[in-house]
Amino acid sequence: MCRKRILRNKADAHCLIFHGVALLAYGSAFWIYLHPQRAHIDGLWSMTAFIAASVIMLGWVSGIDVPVNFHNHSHKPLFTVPWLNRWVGRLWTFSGGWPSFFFEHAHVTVHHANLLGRGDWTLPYRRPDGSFESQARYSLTHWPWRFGRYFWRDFTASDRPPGLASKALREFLIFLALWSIPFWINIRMALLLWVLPQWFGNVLISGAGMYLQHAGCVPKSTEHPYGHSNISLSPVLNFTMFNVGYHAHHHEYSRVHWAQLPRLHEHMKRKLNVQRARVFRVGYYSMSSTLARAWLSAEARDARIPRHPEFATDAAGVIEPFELAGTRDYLNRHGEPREIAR
Amino acid sequence: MTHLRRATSRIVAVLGRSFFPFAALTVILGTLLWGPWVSLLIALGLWELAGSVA
Repeated sequence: MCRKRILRNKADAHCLIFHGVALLAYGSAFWIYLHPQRAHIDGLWSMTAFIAASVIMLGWVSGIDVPVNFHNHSHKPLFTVPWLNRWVGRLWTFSGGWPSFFFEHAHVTVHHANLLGRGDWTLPYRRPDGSFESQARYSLTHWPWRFGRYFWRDFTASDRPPGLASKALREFLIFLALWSIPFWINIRMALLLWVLPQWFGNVLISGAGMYLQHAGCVPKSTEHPYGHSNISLSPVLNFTMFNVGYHAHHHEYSRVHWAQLPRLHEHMKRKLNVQRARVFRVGYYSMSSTLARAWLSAEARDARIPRHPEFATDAAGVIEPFELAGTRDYLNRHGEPREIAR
Repeated sequence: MTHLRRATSRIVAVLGRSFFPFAALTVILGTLLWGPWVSLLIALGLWELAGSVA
């Protein structure tokens, strides 16, 4: 007898373990907050230290759990059963401060379909010279403020697909019901150990990641087929974050499973080299921590974010820097990208 | 020996792929053992470490 598998890919068990342990960590923090004497917390300062440690760790996890981990599910649903995919999605993203449908809309319908184009409102705004706004400004404004405005615009547009608004409203209400659970237990606990970590995760982890995956990049064109993303070959980053560093690969072949990306990289190596793809040895955390040091000169910054030696040189053999500012040659006279190849 | 190696590599894969949530759980539950100040110190240490290795 042939039994149908529920999980499409065995490697996706890691995605579920990740999210399960993340929820357990939230639950543990809530329990300690409600029983402080069990954890040597006996005053305002020790409680502040506990909350600070929890916000850093829970925020960090939430900042990966939705934009990296659930992100895999939004491209290739984990299960063979549609209703299970839908409900696991809903029970996945609420702990990161996102309704699952809203994340899918932002990431798949907007970001992947309009990568670095005018319609891609998920990425940082561009200055007239083509460069990104600052990392701090993007991180502090994108979630939930800027994204919220664009969701409202997309879901209430007069030319929206039929049923989009009612689906968005239904998903938002389901999200609210799940997201409000900690508030029913203890409002102050919910603000400090639920909302604050989600803010931390979206601003400092997810915001920085989104920024660095495309900072200094140019829209896809015949001249720059892989110049749309910054690739990180950091083994630590890729092992602990579902191979998110293979970012150009992911945008080129978004249906390839996250566990197969290193193998895809082996196949693409030569093309990436010839096309001078933006490949870095360090991970996005290192890039972010370097960019956060605003006092560094451009030279010092480039030295801390070296291009990968196997992919670093241009046609003349010159090592290319990180380049925060985009060049203008890919914009037409209206400031719009030209030669977009889809 | 092969079974042991396979089991070890599976455990490493599970712990490594979910390193961040396991680290969060350890820091938070560890407060019960070593108190909140040590937890804060570990959290800040991990943050700084990630900035240099990942």
